[in-house]
Amino acid sequence: MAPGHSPSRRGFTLIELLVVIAIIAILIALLLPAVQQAREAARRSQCKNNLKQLALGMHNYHDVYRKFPVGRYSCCWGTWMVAILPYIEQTPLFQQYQNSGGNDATGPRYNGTANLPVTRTRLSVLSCPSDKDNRPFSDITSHNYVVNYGNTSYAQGTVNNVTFKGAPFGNLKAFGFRDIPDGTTNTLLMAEVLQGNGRDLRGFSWWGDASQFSTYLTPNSNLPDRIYTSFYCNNEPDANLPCDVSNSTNPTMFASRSPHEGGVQVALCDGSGRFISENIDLDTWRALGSAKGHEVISEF
Amino acid sequence: MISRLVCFLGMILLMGCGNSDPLNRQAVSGKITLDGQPLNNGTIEFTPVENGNPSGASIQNGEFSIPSEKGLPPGDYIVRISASDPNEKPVEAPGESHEIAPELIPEEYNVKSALRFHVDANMENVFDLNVEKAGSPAS
Repeated sequence: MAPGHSPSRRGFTLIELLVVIAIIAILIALLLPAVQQAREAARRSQCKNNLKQLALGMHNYHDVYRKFPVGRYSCCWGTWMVAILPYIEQTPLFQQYQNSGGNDATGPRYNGTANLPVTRTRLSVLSCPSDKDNRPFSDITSHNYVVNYGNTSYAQGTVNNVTFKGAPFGNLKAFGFRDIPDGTTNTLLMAEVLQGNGRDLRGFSWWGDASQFSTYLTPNSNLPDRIYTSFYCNNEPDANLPCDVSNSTNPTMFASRSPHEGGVQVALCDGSGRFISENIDLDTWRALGSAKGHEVISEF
Repeated sequence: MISRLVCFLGMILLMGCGNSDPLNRQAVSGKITLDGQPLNNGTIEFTPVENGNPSGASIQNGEFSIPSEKGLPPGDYIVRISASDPNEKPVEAPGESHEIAPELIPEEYNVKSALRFHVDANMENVFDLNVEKAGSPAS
């Protein structure tokens, strides 16, 4: 090698460097949405798993009492959520809850001092990981899963000529498999709802009205949920949370709503979990809600 | 070279932007008045005459609009309009709630509605109506 002649050391040109950076950027741009989608898919299956666990809890309750829990007791003395606690591994909370079943009108309500340690608890099996964690009132928690009150409204009466055709849950009454002649595979047991924002009471399932849904409104409906006073009802159609005050033609009712794209997740009375498209036929959805409608249900 | 890359990148970013809706949902909007005055607060509901997909929207200051992604597939619909008496009850802790507001709109416009609306594809769907408190609907 001749002295003074160094071996040629070829570096990267600016263009080559830019090309490499651009390719890396494209790869990241492709990958990032995929990662976000994978995370959402994981949250979604967690959410469906919660529904499955709750349906199993309901079945275990049914094995013991031959009936599902009462949907809601009078006023504010507990809902199905209290009754189900021992069957979702929350026996200590159940024992702490006082006056469930409204056997003593002067005893504590869900917001009574004695019950606050229970109702301020957030239960992960009752929370969808894709949704927010709201506490609308007195620091008491909202949750994401509610029981089926049939094909009309909370009061289970006729709404706009749609007649009530039975439900697996109701006020002060407990129903069992024998009360579901439509078949457990053709009747909804539970479904998910979105929690409201701020003092909005949607998802406030320790309290009666918001512990249920009905199938008068289709999943993720653009028609409003109905709450008894506008003070506790924020109309947010863009957030899939339209709301209006209940009135005599449109009484208190809640649609099933979901943070997941394109539909809602439900549990059927046979204990299975399903994803239901928000484009489901109106008649099929209402037939799924009723327990004694004797409808022929097509593929859903 | 760079411009080709930018073009390629742009095409990748545009991927997945196509929106196919098998139901062909249409946006619907309109103006609702009560005895000639804009209806302040209410709800309009479109229920399919045959089986299908219902929708609706809040009426605010006499106007409503249903965006196309929440809209109505072409077909015939029963129209129902409902509004609550805005009298507010004193607010207390959520408890028993059997008291509900009375309906402001006559039942010919909601429970016994004979109002029909036809939704067409590929044209603007507008539903305007004047609600008369006493009397039957004009349409």
